Amino acid sequence: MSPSVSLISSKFAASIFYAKSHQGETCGSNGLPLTLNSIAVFGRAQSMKALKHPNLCQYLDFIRSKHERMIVVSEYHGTTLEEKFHMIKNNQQNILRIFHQIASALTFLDEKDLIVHNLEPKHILLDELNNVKIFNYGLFNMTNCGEYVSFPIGNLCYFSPERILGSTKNIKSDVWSLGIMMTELFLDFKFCDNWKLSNTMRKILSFQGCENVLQKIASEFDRTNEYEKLPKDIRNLLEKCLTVSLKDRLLPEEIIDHEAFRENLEFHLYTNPPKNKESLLNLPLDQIYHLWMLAGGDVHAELKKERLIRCEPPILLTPNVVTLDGKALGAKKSQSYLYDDRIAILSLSNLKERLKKISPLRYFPLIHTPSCPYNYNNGMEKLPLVIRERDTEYQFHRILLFDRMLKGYPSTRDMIVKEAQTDIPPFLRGKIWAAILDVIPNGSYTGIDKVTPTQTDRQIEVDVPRCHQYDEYLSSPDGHRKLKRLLKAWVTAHPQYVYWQGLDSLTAPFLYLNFNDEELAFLSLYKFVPKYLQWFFLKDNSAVIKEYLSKFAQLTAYHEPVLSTHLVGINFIPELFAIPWFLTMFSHVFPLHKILHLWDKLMLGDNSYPLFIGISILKQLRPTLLSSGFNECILLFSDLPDIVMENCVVQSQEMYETTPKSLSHREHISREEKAGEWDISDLTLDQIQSELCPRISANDFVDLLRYSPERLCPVDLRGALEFSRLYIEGSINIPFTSVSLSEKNLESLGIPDLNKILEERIIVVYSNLHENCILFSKFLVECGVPRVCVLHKGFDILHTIVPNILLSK
Amino acid sequence: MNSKTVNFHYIVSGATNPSVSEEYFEPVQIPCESEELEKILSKINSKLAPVQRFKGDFQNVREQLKRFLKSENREYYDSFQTPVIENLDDFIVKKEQLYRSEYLAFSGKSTPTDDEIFAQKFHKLVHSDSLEQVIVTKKKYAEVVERLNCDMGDYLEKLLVKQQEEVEQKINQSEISATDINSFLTRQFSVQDITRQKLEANLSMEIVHQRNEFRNIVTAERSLNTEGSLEYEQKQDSKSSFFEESFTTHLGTQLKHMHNIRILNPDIKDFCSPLYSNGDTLGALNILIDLYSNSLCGLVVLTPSSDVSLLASPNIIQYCNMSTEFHFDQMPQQLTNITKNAPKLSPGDVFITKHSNLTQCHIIFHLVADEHFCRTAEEINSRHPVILGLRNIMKIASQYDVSSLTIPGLLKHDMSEDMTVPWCIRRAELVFKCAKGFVIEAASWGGAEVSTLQLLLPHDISEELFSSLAAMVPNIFRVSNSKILVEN
Repeated sequence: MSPSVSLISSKFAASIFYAKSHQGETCGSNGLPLTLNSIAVFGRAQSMKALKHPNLCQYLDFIRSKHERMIVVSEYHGTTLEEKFHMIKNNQQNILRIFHQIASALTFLDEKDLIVHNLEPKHILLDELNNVKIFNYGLFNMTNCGEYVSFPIGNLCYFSPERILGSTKNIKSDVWSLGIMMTELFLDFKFCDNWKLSNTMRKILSFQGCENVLQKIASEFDRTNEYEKLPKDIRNLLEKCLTVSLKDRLLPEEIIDHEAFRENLEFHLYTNPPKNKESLLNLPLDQIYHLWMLAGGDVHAELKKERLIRCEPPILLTPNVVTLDGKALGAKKSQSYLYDDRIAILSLSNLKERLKKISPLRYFPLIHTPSCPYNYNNGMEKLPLVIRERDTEYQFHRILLFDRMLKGYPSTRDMIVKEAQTDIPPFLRGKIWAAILDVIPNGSYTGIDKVTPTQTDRQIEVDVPRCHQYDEYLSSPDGHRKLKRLLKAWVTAHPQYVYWQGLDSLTAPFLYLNFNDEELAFLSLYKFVPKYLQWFFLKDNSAVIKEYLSKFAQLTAYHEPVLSTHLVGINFIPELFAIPWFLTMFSHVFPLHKILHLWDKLMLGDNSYPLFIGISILKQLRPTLLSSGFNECILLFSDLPDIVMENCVVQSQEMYETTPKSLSHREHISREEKAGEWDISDLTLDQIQSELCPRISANDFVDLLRYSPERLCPVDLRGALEFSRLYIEGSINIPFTSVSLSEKNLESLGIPDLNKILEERIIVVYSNLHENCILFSKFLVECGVPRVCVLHKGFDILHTIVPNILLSK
Repeated sequence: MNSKTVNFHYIVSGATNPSVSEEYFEPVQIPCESEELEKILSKINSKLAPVQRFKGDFQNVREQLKRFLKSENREYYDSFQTPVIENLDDFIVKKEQLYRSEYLAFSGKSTPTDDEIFAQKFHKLVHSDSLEQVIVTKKKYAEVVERLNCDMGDYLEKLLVKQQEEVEQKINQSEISATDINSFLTRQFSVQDITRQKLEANLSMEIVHQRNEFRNIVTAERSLNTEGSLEYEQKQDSKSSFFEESFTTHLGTQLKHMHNIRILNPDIKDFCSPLYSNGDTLGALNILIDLYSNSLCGLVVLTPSSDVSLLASPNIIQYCNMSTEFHFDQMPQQLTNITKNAPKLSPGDVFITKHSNLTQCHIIFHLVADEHFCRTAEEINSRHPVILGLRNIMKIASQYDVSSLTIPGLLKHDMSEDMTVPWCIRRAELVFKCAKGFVIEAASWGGAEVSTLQLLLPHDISEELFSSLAAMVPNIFRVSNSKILVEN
């Protein structure tokens, strides 16, 4: 394999730098610790990923690690202009083409108010067709004009006089750099090559006040002959790039329009390289990179191999005195933190090896052709989620499948939901969630006022710097700004609601997933709230919350009678711990990576799903809770211990699927259909609060009776006589008047094998007198019987069911 | 270059009569970051009537404003005035200096220092088969030094006895005058002094010799020709036994990190006892393997005075001198260097010494507390210099990869009478809580995590008190219960 081929087949490179570390005491004006500079860089850098232009290398990843280290992964494709210098220099057409392409990249960056600042031949990459791709153009911007690093950015040789003297924000300084690079090519020489830095600076500053810099350079570097041979229009172009006066220097967009490029316009433009024979390499770069990482790609290791991460043993560097005010004396300056602009090429061979068996057809899953299966799961869906998420081939199929479906969204929405039930590939999670939530971006976010001061600003200002701050996205200044904007926009868009603390946590996962797409984050939140938290953000939300918590208590009694009895016994009511759970859909209590998995499932369920998550958390803590009193419980929940999320998800899913829908009925939800005669309706809050067991609707009861009687155990509390007249098939008659409920023991009911009968079944208690049902169901719960519910509207409602379900002896 | 204010003019249809266009203007600060755009728009918005805002032509205002800002900014940046530089040479030299000190390429060929080469080679050596030999070699060296130390002690003692006898003889000779006695004593003393100096010189020569020899062997990658192997038996009960209890905790809001917390009360002397003296081979293994790694062990020791040479607990200095320090300066030299850096230290300051020949720790943080603090059972709060010094120590630990740190749990090394039980409990609560706070805080410092935190209690603490303080740990650190197994 020739070297050029290997370069082509690799597409990424990693570079590394260290952010400046804060000295001394680190507290900001708001009393909070200062953000690490590397985190600030991390936040700023994210937007660079979104920059896409044919003449710019795409940014792919930013990795932060300890001691302020930043690793930047970016597209790297082709050979540098520095290396190709001698191949290019004799071809004026080619030079012009490179000139044009760099200028068009600069125009693009200028539109976004970005400055390159380190434009030099080392950062100009040329592919096999001599297309330009600029590399490392974001360093100046991501470090906030060099604020966040201690090293100066840029190669002095290509600095303009004003840049040396401190002008930083003018794109025309980049035009000068371009001018010098092109002059080097046209005149075939190297400007200030291997000079001492001070001499280079003196030389450049000596151009000040000079009328024709190009001519001066030509004469001083002994290039007069070449200079005179230059065609007039090219000479003019170069001269205008190299004027000292900023007003006269060209803008990038003016370069493109210059007469030197008039002829042969097509020729100057970017030519698409031919499609690669390897399908893998035709995928979008960010997908390839994601797969590369899954296939065991380790950026750190590659950098270490190239000796770009050098580690001196820390014990050799420690200071020997630290004074009270935090000043460290006698520390050795480490060489490892110096700036080194070399790069490490990331080899793709591992990934190729992993995916070489995949047939090319699978790169194009046909989702609308039933004869072609598009599902290549190979039984993987039975494996634990963590394994699936790390399996290269599995993720490859999932990403391609979802990618294709997302391209067809919204018409493919139902397919997306169906596939999401298996799992959601982390790479596309943000977009998939948005699709599940029916989000359709329409530009409305731009129009929402996010800046006018409002009353809630102060609270938002306090909450944002405390929201999931362990995370790099959310703790960066950019993350803070974005979160603030999202919250303000949400408040503006909902005049009927107020900002409740917790909305910040609720927004965090959406921002985390769509960091570069605020609109998508906003609209996802916008759709999410009414789906799961309808009316939770009313100024007076007490009725909504009370109903929710009572429902939670009822369902806890339904699924965990023993635990529920214990909690009721020690008076540890949900109001004491569960409000932040539900108000933030658990996003306040769990770290982000856990929330993502939880919400993957939550998104697919309806508004009752969160209740079951709550119960499964209680379930996990059950042994601790049962042995704890009130105080211990309060302490335990004030800082929730680590919960195993996979179990939590599986359990809540199971409870969600097996619990009849009407059991989780609440009044305060957005409803599309009106409740019918056999549904639950018109329950007052007092009623719910006074009943320990949830009610089941006649509809659900009949469904169970008809379709899965083996799961049902109706318990009839009416008198024996009434029972013998009309009864439900399979029901047990326990006349309420005949039993004593004082002893909490099933055997006191005197029915043989009652335990066995009730096992694994949904126990529906009904009677003519609702009070009796309440008392009896409570008794059952206190005996530790799970799955007890009460029939809504009692036995009477069963008369009205058509066709008749009542039997008589 | 000063920023300036310009007016942005825009035209929208009138509020009352839409067919008549009205012109407004809005003052704008130039230069203007692109983030300001929304703010300006919101200001414009608030001035207009709703009818105007939703008219089509208002949509153009955003575009107009964008273009306006762009061109105004350009004009502003183009009018960059060359700053007056009084001393151009100075300016250039400073700039060059900056590049030289920050760029690897300009920093001059960076050849690693001798220390680094030695460190690298040594690290490789102890992570190879030769580990055993390294320890045997070092042990032999240590034995020589120890013997010299002993001999020196013996010799001096004998000399003293001999001199004592001579003095007594002299006194018994009745006609001797007081001046004679005095001059005789002076002579004796100077003999003593010279002998001591000679012996000490011998010792330090041996140390220098050992150090050079060992470092040369390691650096040149010559094999260590040693015979004999190690006995891996841990000698029992050469040290006094102590109490110890361990816990695991998860700290942090939302995202939890795991930490080991251990509470124990060995004598600090045992804690940093000389590495090779009591056959504790395993201790030596751990210390040497991790010496140049990214998981160091640190120990915090309180020192009651502000004169560095007297500071460190005398035992520690003595222990350090029991064998050759092959990796760092010999302890007295380290202390001298510290005095050079910081001639005067006050409470809350910390000085740091590094060691390769003590058990249990690579780095000792000597935390300065005033004498009053050390002698009496003072009541302190969390803003006390000693606590702040502790926080600084945690910061340094995080910065230099000290992943296991031992701190005095009561900020005391010995019990005294005025340390009553309630006082100890109050003090322990304060220290534990602060330590917990610092550990949580450390997660945001961007350095190494303290994965093991040891709380060292005074060695002479009663068993009862120890257990009540140990019982506080799970409460304060909110120790997670053993893993919850979900029944299925």
